[in-house]
Amino acid sequence: MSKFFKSTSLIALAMTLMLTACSGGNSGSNGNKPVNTGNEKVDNGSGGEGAEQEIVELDLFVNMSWWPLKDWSGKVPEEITKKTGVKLNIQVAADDKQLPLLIASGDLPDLVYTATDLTRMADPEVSYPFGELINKYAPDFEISQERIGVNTMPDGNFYTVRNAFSTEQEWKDNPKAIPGANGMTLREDIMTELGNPKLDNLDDLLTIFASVKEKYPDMVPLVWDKDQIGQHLRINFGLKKSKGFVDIDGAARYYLKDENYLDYYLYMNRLYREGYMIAENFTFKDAQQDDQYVLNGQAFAHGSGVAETSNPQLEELGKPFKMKQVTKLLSDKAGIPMGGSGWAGMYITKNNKNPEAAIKFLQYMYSEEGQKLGLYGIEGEDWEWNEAEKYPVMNYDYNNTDIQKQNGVVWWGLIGSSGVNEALQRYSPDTQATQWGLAAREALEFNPALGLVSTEPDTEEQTIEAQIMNMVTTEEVKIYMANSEEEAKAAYEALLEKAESLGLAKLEEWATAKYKEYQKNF
Amino acid sequence: MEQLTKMETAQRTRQLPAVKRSIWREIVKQKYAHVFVLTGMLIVLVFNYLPMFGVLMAFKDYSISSGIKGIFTSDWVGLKYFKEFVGAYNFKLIVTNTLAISLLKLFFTFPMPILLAIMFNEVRVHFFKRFAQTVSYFPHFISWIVVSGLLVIFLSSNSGIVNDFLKGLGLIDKPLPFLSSPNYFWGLAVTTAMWKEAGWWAIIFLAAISGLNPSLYDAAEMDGAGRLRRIWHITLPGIRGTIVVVLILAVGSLLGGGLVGSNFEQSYLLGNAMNNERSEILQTYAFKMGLAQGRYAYATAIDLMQSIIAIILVFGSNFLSKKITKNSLF
Repeated sequence: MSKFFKSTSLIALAMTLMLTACSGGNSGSNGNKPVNTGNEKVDNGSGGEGAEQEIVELDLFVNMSWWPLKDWSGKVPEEITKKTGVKLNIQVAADDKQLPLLIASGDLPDLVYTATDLTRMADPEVSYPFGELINKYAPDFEISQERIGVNTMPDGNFYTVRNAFSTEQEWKDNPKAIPGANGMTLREDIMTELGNPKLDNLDDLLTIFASVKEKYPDMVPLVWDKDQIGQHLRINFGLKKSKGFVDIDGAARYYLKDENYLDYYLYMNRLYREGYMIAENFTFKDAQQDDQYVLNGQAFAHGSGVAETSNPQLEELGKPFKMKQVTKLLSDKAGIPMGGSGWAGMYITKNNKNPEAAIKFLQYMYSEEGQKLGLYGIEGEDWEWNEAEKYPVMNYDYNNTDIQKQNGVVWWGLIGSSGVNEALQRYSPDTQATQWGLAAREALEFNPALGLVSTEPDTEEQTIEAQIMNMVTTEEVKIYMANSEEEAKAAYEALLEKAESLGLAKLEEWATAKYKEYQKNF
Repeated sequence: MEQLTKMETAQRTRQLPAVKRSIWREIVKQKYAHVFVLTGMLIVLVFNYLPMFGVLMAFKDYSISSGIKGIFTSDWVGLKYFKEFVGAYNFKLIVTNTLAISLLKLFFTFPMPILLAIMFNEVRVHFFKRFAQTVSYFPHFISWIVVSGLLVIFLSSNSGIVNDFLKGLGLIDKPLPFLSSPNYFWGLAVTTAMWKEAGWWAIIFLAAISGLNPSLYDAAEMDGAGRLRRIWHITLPGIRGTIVVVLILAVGSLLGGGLVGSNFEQSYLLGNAMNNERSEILQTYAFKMGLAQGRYAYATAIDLMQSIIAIILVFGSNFLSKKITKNSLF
């Protein structure tokens, strides 16, 4: 008995200690910070014995739980390491709550790549200002004034340079740059069966859905990706999604006040009332649920579908049908508002154990060579530049996620890529997605000053905006699901009234002041 | 007299070290048991008491960029976040949902394990009793994420087997929107929680029942008491103490779902934009509007409000129980 107690209590103690140890280790990288390997060396290709350099290992936290590359492996990361002498240890976020927790606990790793909590990261207590590191370690690191301008914080510093940013001129200079616009695909076989009816506008789309509903009553005419419900239609109505402001008579007004928003809501409501989309679409929790509808042949149209993505899967499953991309804009109201300052940024945190290596690594990733290596792969092997038409010709299927993972290509390029370099990757003259992309390109709308208007965390404006956004997610559904057009209109009015009661006027007043301030720079 | 007192004092002084020695001896004798107790206390201290200083955040202008030290150094803002929450447009709705789901769960799920335990106790076929008991408590081990996945498969309007079955029987024309209509959420929450946890909690009541003296049943049977009479006059009064203790515990965690818990998991996993007006509760709101946006101070204020209500409920139910049944937790 005594032995039993002795061994059990020892086990209990050991478990307690392990529990404490684990909780310490989980909280960040401090517990097991990788050290410079010292004896690992790399030839950076410039020749000579002095060209050999030690590899610096840095920890990177990627704040996107869906990020497909979970480690720094494949020929592209290896090539980047050769060029920069930096190897990254990757930690992909478990969810969107992890980064705030890391900031609060002070356990941030060396680098953070994130598209949210940007202003929280842009804090001198949390990250290094780029200017400071460039002056100290990389005086030849040149960043365009536009990019510095859109990333500069109220304290006068810039803590990152976000990717996906390009000026209107850069877009004009690169006619093969395809924006990542949300598309729609339709069942090709059913379209043929229906006699390939014309699809030139949104009314035609309704007519096609009606025919499908009549002929295939058990089929869901339209299924949406859970995170992109209505997005293809928003493009056709020229609308913003989820947040932001629009210019109405020179003032920054909340995006829901766009004059086309009611028309969009009424169209969506009609799709629901006439049974062309299902209420259950709003309950999807899994990002694959819509794909399943398409792959099982239960859906006719796929909101946010890409033919080149669905068709290989359908072929693999042995399905006797294919999806066809809608390759034109369906309304003269169409428009794609371009964000003002880019998407995600890399931050060099104050915990960084080698800021010099980090800023030099970023210098390479922001260079044209680094961007193209990360995005497209190794030149001459994975892609070649078409000088006549100015776009990279890929020697592999860059949409294929297995190849992306195997080679570590596409995604790491986003660390420093411009919007145009990302968009050029999408150009592949023979694909349906490219045809749609070229059509969508015509709808790009630039208003960088407006795109820069964004609330700061822990401010009154941010609280108002967050409350309105939370309210909209619930109230918007009431418009979609209204039993009549009148009811839908009333629900839209009620939504705006609720937004006003939450302090929308104050938010708009603040946004307009900011908008006018930013306009002076453009 | 004086001499006597002196003697007594001398005796006591002699006894004291002896008592101390015997306590120490007792502790040494029970050292392994004490290790267990100390381990438990250490865990409670580290995980339950130490983090409590974070409650300060609810009253401070805390920004996550200021780290842990910011909890102490940031400015006091009084009840700012409490007022913000009370002033939120959906405050009433959130509180109503939290209370309604919690009370419905207490009302429907609390008696269920007692009934189940009594039923198990009355089953005479040993094998069936064991089998039924295992089947009833097995769902307790399935996580809510799996349960929610199963529910989506079973209850889907489009391809769920429940709707297909009801349609097949001709009971409904159109599929029932179990997952997308707000009207079904409360019922769904209560029934699924009951299915998942009733069997598990029945174990406690079964244990209490098995502690009852069998001769009481024999005597009652000889006096001509039927099965229901025996349950009413022996089983139920016999486990009254257990029922009261479990009830007080259930009331204490009422806002988390009481005995069956899981308010947060259900609302988070089964809640969606469609049923939000019935599924949004205090915890999910604190999670979305507080944690997800890095507003830890706001989230703390909401949770603190819930904790205060929970403490009032525990003391209130304990007081009432003491008055009415003479049984209480403390």
